[in-house]
Amino acid sequence: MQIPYTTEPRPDTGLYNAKVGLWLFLASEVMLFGGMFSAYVLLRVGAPEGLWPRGWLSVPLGTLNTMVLIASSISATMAWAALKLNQFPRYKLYHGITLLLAVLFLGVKAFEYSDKLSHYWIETKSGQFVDGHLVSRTADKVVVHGVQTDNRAVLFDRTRKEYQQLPHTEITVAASDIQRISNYAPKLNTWMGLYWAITGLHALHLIGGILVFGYLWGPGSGMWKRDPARFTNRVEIAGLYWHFVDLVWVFVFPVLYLF
Amino acid sequence: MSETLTPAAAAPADLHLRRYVVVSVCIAVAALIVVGINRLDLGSPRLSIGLSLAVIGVQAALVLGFMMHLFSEKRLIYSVLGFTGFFLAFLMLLTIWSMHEVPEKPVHSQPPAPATAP
Amino acid sequence: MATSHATPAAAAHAAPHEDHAHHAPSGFWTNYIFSCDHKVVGIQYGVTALLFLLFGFGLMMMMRWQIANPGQAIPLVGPILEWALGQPAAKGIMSPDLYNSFGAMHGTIMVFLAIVPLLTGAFGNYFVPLQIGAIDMAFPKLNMASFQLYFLGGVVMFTSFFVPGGAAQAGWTSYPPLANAIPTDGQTYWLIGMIFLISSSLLGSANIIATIIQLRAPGMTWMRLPFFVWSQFVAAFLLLLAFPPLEAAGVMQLMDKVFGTSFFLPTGLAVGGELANISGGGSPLLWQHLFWFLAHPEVYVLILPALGIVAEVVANNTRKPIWGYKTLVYSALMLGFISFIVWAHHMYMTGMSTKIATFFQTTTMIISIPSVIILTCLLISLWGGSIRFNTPMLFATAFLPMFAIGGLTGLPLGFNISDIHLHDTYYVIGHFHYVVAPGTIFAIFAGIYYWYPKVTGRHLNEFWGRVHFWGSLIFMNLVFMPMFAQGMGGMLRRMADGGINYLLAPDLLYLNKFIMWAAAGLLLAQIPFIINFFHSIFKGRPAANDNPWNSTTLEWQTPTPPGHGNFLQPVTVYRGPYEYSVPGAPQDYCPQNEPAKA
Repeated sequence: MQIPYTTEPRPDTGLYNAKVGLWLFLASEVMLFGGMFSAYVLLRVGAPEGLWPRGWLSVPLGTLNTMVLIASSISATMAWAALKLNQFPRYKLYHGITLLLAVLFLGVKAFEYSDKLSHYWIETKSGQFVDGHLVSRTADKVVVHGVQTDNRAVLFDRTRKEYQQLPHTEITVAASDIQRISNYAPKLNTWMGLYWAITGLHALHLIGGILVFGYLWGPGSGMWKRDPARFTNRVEIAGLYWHFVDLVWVFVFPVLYLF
Repeated sequence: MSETLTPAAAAPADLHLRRYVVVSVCIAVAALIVVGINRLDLGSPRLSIGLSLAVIGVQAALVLGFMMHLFSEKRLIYSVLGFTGFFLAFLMLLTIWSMHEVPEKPVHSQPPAPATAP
Repeated sequence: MATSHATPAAAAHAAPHEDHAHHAPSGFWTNYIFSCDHKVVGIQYGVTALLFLLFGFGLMMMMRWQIANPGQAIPLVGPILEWALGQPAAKGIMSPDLYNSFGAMHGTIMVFLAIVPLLTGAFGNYFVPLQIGAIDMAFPKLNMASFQLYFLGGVVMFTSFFVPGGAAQAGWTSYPPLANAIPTDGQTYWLIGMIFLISSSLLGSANIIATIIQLRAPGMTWMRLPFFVWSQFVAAFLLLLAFPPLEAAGVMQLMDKVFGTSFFLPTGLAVGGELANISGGGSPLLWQHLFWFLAHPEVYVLILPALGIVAEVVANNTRKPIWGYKTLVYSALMLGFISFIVWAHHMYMTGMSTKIATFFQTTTMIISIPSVIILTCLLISLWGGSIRFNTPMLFATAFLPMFAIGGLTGLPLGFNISDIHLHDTYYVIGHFHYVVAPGTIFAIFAGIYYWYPKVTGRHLNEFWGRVHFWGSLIFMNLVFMPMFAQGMGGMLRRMADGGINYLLAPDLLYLNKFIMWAAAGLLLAQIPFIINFFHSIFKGRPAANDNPWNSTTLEWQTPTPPGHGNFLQPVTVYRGPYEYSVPGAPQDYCPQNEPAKA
């Protein structure tokens, strides 16, 4: 006796098991990211007016990543369609493209993350605020290339001209003058923590997707010969999961990069 | 053994391949629109966020409805997602409402008189 | 049709499996450790969870000593504690930090490592596929993974006791900023353990829901499902949708602890008199909202499968259908739905406005309606029944008034006004323990005594079962009833010194000693059960046949224990779940898969 409805749909629900299972899982994922977004909304609404970071991220890079994900969604769908049309080599091609695009997304993300870790925020005891990329750091001084101001509020909304008019120069801060120094790690401020948490969680889901796609593209593709219908369903399920990862990004990108 | 629909039997017309590409292009264009909305200074941040959310809603509907073929999915999935959406809405709305809605003034306008020692 | 088999091993291979004709005999690891069979996974959950139940009980016994005899060395166990934990248990005396960690871990272990895994992981996994006529869960490998994740989470939680600083100490609720300020890695272990446990639950609940939707046997319509299956279905939905926000919050609190973020830490926070080196801007209330969004539906997860078990045992032992089956089903669905919108009744004291408090108060009152309906249906089911007072039935019947006490005492807590006085007092502890201890745990015992013959082919000893029952019933009431008095008198909970420093409670402190002795009695009452449990595997009275209780539901229409594939032949269902004493039928029960007479 085999477990029924693994490939053929159950008549009264019209679905096969894995599809039911996946949508249930996706429902829980909606609640997971929803919990994260509700934290974002709550913390932002509770923050003092004008002191919420805006425009701290590279919109071109984020837009690029958006397009990369959308393209990978198309290729994931095409991969499944190729299997439905019995075209295995085409499936391999499209799935391979999906994998490459996913890795590209991660690569851009890795670049963004590493850039964050070399970007420093310094508050001096003399009331100055310095923000820029690290040039050098020794025991007695820190040198960054960036902006300096005595009005902290200017540094928050970087889409405004008050910030954009600040000159970008090399700034040296004596170690003895430093009140607080931090790179753009999660601990810098609540927004940064949310950025790392939300994009990090999204990236983990992406990596999970890469592992699944990698398995189906590589060792798992042997199932095509043994049970093509079941393999096609697996690819469909993986594709659905992947679209969900794209769907989350549809919200993550504007909320973190644009709002 | 069972009535499995072999891949070759799926009619190409069922697959709507062109539709997926068109929808994806729409999603990409919508993303650019959202970027554009936020690039322009519309005066009030609430307006740009509100407008952006509307476009994002359309994007999400496109992803869910066409790419995840929810529009042609079975009723069961709709009900699961319907409940999920409802509970998510409650989580977000009630949480924000309760953080916002605090008592305007304390019950006592002055601290209570210190209790005399026993 | 149903015949006994000499040994479980013979039974396991008796079931036909056409396409497995050439599978090699599988070894110990595949059969017992990494099994994908829902019955083995169920037993794995059951054994692990029962061990955690005992462990959690042990933690509480030590706390009860400290409450009754503050600052005195714990007899017998004290030296062992000192050896195991070192400084916090110096000279066998429970330090306040140790008290707090035992309290936090008692709650965490009981809820997340004992009760829920017993109800959903053990009973759910074992009996849901059987009761719907399926050969296994929809995703057997996922089932195994769920257990492994649960086990890992348990290991992490257990290990947390032994890290420097000890286990988590901020309550099972882990409220910030305290949870962040506590300087022990144990708090971090708690968060990691929770992430494992939550993930295990999520995978398990998706599995159960998909199984119930997709793998019902032909003829098993929704309205022919045993109420136990409905209760598991709703509970699984609660877990599926309510746990993730807590997982998100857990990740954020972990980041607060490990990466120094301030999701839940407000600006200007001072710890030990010094300004904390954090960015601030966070909100402790955010944690509370995300936590209670899970933790309220969680309590319905604790009670629904228990109600399901009670329904099965009551129907079987009254020899008549459960009264109001459809009402029960709709009430369970309504209960599940409303449970998502009542959570802030745990937060009345956080400074919310009367508008919000009224909203949550209203939904809380509304949710008591389906609970009462379910209890009433079960009570009415007893009327006119031909009742067999065997041990499962004793537990199931006692459950009803115990759960009623627990539920009724919840009402003053649900009202904003009375909660002002009762919040964080021993009244709360009395209330929720009544629902879970003589409530859910009694249902679990009923389920164990009821289904033991199906799993092992033998009965638990009836005499010792009754001893276990009466001892548990009497002592549970003696332990928890005084807590209402203490709470109403104003005695606060979570006080390591048992309240002797609390001025308002001088005339209630004697009850601490009383409760401690009652708890000792409760522990003694469990000993016959533990011995019985193991002894009867080998020496228990053999079950007369595969269906010794003459039950209608499908899990009894299998060999004992059910083999690989569960049923000897594919199942078709012709009847509802509780066709007992049908007029004109040859016996007083008609199994669900017995065809209707032409």
